[in-house]
Amino acid sequence: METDYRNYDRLFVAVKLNKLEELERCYRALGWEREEKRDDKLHRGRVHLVYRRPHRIGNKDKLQLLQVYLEAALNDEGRLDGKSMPLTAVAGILTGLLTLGFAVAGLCLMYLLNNPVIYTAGIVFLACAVAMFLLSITVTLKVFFKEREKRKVRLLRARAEIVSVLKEAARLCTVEGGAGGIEIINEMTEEAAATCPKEADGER
Amino acid sequence: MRDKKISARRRETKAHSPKGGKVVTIRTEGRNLGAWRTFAIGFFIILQTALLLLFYLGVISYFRIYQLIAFVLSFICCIHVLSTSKPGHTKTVWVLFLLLFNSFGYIAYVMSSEKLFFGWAKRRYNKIFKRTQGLTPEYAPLTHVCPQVQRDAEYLWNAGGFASYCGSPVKYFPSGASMFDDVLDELERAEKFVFIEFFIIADGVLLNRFCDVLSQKVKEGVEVRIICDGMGSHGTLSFQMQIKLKKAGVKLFRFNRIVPRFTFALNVRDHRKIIVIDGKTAYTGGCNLADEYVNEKRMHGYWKDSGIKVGGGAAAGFTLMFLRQWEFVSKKTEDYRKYVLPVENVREGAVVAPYADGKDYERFVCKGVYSNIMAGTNEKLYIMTPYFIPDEDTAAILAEKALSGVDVRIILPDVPDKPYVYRVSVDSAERLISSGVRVFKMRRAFVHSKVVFSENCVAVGSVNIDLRSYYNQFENGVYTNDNGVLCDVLRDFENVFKVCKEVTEKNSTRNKLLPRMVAGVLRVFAPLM
Repeated sequence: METDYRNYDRLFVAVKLNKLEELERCYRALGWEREEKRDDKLHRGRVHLVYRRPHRIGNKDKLQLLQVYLEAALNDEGRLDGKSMPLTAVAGILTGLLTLGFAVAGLCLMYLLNNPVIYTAGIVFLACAVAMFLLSITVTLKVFFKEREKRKVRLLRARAEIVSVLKEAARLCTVEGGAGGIEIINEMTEEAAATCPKEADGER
Repeated sequence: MRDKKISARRRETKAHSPKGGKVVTIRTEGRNLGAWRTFAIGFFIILQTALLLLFYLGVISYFRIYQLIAFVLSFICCIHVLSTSKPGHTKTVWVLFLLLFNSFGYIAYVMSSEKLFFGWAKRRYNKIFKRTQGLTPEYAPLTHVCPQVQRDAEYLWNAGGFASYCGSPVKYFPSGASMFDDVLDELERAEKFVFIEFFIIADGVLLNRFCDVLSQKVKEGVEVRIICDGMGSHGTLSFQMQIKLKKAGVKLFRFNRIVPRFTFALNVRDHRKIIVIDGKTAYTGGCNLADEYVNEKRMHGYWKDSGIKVGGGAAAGFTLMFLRQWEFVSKKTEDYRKYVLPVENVREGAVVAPYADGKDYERFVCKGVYSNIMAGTNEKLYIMTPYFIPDEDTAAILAEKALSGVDVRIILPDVPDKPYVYRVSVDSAERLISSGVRVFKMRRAFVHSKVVFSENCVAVGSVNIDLRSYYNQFENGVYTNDNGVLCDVLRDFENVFKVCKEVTEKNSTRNKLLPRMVAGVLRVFAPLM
């Protein structure tokens, strides 16, 4: 079948299955209509979609820009959702290694060399290891909470961006997809938009 | 067969799958067209360089005195460089190169001489220009416009023989998509000829749309000619598409085709973007004929581009520009009067002046136009450019204007296409912040528009603010003081400012040591960027 590229624009997208529903509604809000859907034969949990939209559509430039924002925000959200806490992991591993180092050094000094002075030094090292252990827990927890807070803010910002893009798209798009935009906004918790940091809006 | 299908599917999936936590990926077809050809050309060029080096080492081992002779020759070259009218930065880089690599630097310097690699071309251009110079209307001073526009029109005439046309219709497009839609509509109405000249012509949806319309038009008796740059369109315009176009009756030529030969001429590119329809309508701007320019292919976020359409006499200016280049690439002499329509001598209305430069002109006209606009402004100077590597003069004008209270703003991309060029561009722009120039980056977008706007006039075209565009490439643009266009351009700038983040002294990368060092090293290669 000949592809009608004179009257329609086409968009080829690969999506993670768990986000499919949300993404479909987002694209509908931007005026895209699904033409084809097929599972990825090599990777489970991925779907390939083909969308189409009339080539001559009002506010096309703005919709294209909004689409880029939307995809970037969705990807940011996905990255933040899927990633483990890297800073916490680094802090935990580093402080843990230091603790282990102190403990091993202390035990070695205490039991391998038969000298009272070195034995005392070994005890000091072991005490340092205990202190380091407590410190590592404190530091790791602190980094963890900080990172969680940061991630939360970034997630909220990404969500706010998605909401604002869809609101704008719904306003711009006169085709039925506009309803999709409003629908998805209603479904997204309103508190997400309310509690999101203000810079996100300020940037736009 | 089945294996082939599976590996194709695997490749597609690999290239088009959300990775690293990504939720959605837009498929952007990889264009590996001509990869083997590129490899072969690269291989032969490296081979030639290696052979030259071997020969040179042989010479050294035989003649110990060679080092002394080479040093003297390089020194003479240094004196020659300093006596030329090359830009200061280029001179410095050459002197540095000649002194550092004095044993073979002078060979590279001699090989880079324009007289050597471009002399024959220059002679041909001169012949073409001599034969066709009578087709431009005679210059008459414009008395109905402001002094700045008068001066700029006079400059264009004296520097390159470009006529300024009054009362020609002109329209600005704030995006590639809107411009190409208009182009396609105009193409449908073409009756006599269509001339297309682009740096990049790439396979894709946009070219298919063009191909359909052009094939139909050729059947109706319309003459279609296309020039694309040998490097810009290398690996993007497939052999199949070229055959398809030629079979349809379209005449296609490549400018400065890439050949497996070590030559400095490879650095001379045709960066012009011109479409002429029947000699009555012409388009130019930043967009090339490829899907990313209309955002139908995702490359570096949102692709911000712009274009301009001119009619009347100004379109005749573009016809002449194209025909001269056509004669050069096709090596066929023809009568231009069939295509260049006679222009009425209108002395009222807005000024529209198409201009161009390149190795075919004596002066750097495009740089001159930008400098004049920058120097002539008293209120606002807005610039949109993908690459910002100005020479000393341009940087000084911008800084002085900002210090004099002019509202100088530069919009750069937020997403780089070439990271090394971007680093130098950002660094160059950030250097001007302390003078009061405001620098903006368009969020999640690649700004490819080349627009310089002041309260009196605007220039839209293919000219970047970098040394390649200023001194090496074939470029073109339109200068106008049309009120409608000025309003549209200003509106476009205001819309873009809304989606920009401003770079300030606080968040400037010049506060960090590593980016500054990287930019400093890269700056040495600025003439090549």
